[in-house]
Amino acid sequence: MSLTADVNPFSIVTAKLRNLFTKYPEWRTWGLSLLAWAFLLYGLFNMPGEASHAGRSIYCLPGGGASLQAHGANGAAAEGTFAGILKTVFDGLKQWNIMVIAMMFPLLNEPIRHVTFSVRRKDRTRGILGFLLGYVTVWMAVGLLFMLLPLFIDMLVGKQNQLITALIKASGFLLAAALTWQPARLVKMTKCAQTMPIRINAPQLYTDTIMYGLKMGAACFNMCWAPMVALMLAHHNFFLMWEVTLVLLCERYILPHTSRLPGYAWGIIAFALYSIEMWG
Amino acid sequence: MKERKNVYQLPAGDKTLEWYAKAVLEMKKRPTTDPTSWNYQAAMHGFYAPSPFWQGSAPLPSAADQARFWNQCQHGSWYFLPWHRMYLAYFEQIVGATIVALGGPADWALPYWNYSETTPHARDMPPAFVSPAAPTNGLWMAGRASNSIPARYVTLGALNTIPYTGDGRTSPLGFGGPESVFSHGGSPHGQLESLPHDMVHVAIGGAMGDPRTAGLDPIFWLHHANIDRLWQVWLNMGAHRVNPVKKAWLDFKFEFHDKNRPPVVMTSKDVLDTRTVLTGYTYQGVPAGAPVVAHAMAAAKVANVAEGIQLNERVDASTTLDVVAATNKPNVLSSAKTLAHLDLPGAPRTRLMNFAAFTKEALVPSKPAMSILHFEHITGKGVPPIHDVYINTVENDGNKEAHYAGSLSFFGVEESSVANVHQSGSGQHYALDVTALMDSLKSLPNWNAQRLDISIEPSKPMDANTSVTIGRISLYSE
Ligand SMILES: [Cu+2]
Repeated sequence: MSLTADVNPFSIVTAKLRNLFTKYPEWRTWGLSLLAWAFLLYGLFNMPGEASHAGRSIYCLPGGGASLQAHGANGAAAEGTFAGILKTVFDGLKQWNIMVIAMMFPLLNEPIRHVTFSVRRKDRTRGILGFLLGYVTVWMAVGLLFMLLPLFIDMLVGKQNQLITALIKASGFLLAAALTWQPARLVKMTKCAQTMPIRINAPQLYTDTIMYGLKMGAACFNMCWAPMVALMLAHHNFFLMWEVTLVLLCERYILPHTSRLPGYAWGIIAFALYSIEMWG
Repeated sequence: MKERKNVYQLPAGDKTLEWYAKAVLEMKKRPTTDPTSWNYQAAMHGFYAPSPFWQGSAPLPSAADQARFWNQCQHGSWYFLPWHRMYLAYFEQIVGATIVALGGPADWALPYWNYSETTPHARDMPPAFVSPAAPTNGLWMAGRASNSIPARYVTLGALNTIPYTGDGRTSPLGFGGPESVFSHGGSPHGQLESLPHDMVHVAIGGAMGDPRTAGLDPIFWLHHANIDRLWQVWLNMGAHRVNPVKKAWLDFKFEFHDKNRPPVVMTSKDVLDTRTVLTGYTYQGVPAGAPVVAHAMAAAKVANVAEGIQLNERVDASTTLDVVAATNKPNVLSSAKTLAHLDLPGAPRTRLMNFAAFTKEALVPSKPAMSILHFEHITGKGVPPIHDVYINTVENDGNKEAHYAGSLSFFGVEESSVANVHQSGSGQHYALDVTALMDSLKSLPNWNAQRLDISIEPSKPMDANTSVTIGRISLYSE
């Protein structure tokens, strides 16, 4: 008689599933990313791209850069107060964080595994939360700076010249493409896989995971800032974000690390943006 | 079909080493820009311009060529074995072609150095590599620290490791190394890679002690032929010893140059059977089996069920371990022994947190819980000596060996301490399976369920220009 015959097959299936979740702890970050995408998709269908609403996000609006005009014209009057500005910043950061969660969290498989398997099983969720807190903090700081970028460029060149607008929209992705050929890029990429010792007892469990998150946020920004700036400059929309995310995912997980394909992808996006603006 | 022979069993009057020496000298004459030159071949494993061993190697190939073909060696990775097999095959082809051009035989094959044999001089480097000690001897190399390997560093416990892949955290330790991407951040070295591979490198020292110079020493190639042979020996031992079946392992492309110099591509799938690697080869005394892939894997799974083997011993190793204890500060090693301790969580854990929990009680084995001691984020400089690790030693009890857990080679530690295009600079990672040792220590009078004392002792004094820091020591257990 086979000894294994007595094992409840249902238990084996659940145990296997549980094992899968244990072995691939990045299901958490991928899950959060999916939620963020769902939120953005919901926004796409439920918030028409009108710019009349004061205090609307200046980032990932489905309507692209329309809200910038709101800020430039009637928006300024509506938000002239300190509270108004705060609200703009707050809403902007909220949108920015959703964008970071949607686009960047799926790139974190290696650090998430490092944290998960460095701490006690009972502390895994705590450790991952600490890490994500540190990670998001870096991107938030960057987000504040980025928030000013489109406004600043708007102020500088205004809306008149179609050619300049087209060039600006395309320039970020051209920059991203050019940076793909930068020799230091490969080292930047390996730094996205760096790890550090994590102590397993509180309070160091928290300080170490947050520190690691900060470190990885910086490494990640160092690697991915150009496409993110490009998104800002292009007054990006849902579909552009989606394309950028796809390229980043391929670069991180599928293509050989020396591949220049992401560079060509950025170039094509730049050309497409330019064409749409000029002749579209 | 070539046969790679045991260097200590070459018949009297055999010319294998003589021709090898001639070819080395010939290849050394070629400029570093030539893919078939001695320098270029060594640089494919690793290159480091500031090293004295690389003095005078300029002019060098273009930066693009260097980025594409140099510093490719795979360590701390499941690609370790297949990459080195490919590397050796093309090297052997290039040396062979050089020998033919010099008027030598067409069937030259790389010999292997089996230092693990019990014959009297097995652990001594073959004499032809040692004397005459002059640059006119193609097999001699300046700067070696030792021509003999201590017995402890050539043991073959790795062959008892069943899974090929494993990291000692999400699974038991693996024979061939952890699943990894090409560029990675400090994954643990595989069992065969740790011992004897890394140990032999560091015990010989000099150029051999650092992956960025190791290929310059002609003994490197005989050492790696032996490691490559042990891969086949392991497969031949059967009992669920099988190669990975994941596409990521089978299909990953590596680039080399063949004897005609153009780039060539190889994958792990191309080197599963030594008899079909280039013109094919076997090892003296080792039957070359059919490639052990998916079929064997499936068969092994069926066998598991049929034999009623505990579910937690399946070849796909579904166990995940949990960290039991970890140090709170980095340990800086010195020429004196370094003492560290781990705070254990008290009473020994008895419940197995794995598959076995779902099986009937009768199936739960009464064997000791797996315990793996990890040394993580190891950074350092130079070629530090091998360090031996002991657990719970008692002063002068005369039975120190009963406390020996294993050794740390730190092979390549300097390179691993700084980010480069291949790895993140997070340092090295070694793991020792201490399951049996922990079990035996528990029966000793000095066993303390709350504390584990770890002693890390250098096998010889550390040079002033070397250093090692171990970021974290941790114990993982079922
Ligand atoms: Cu080696």
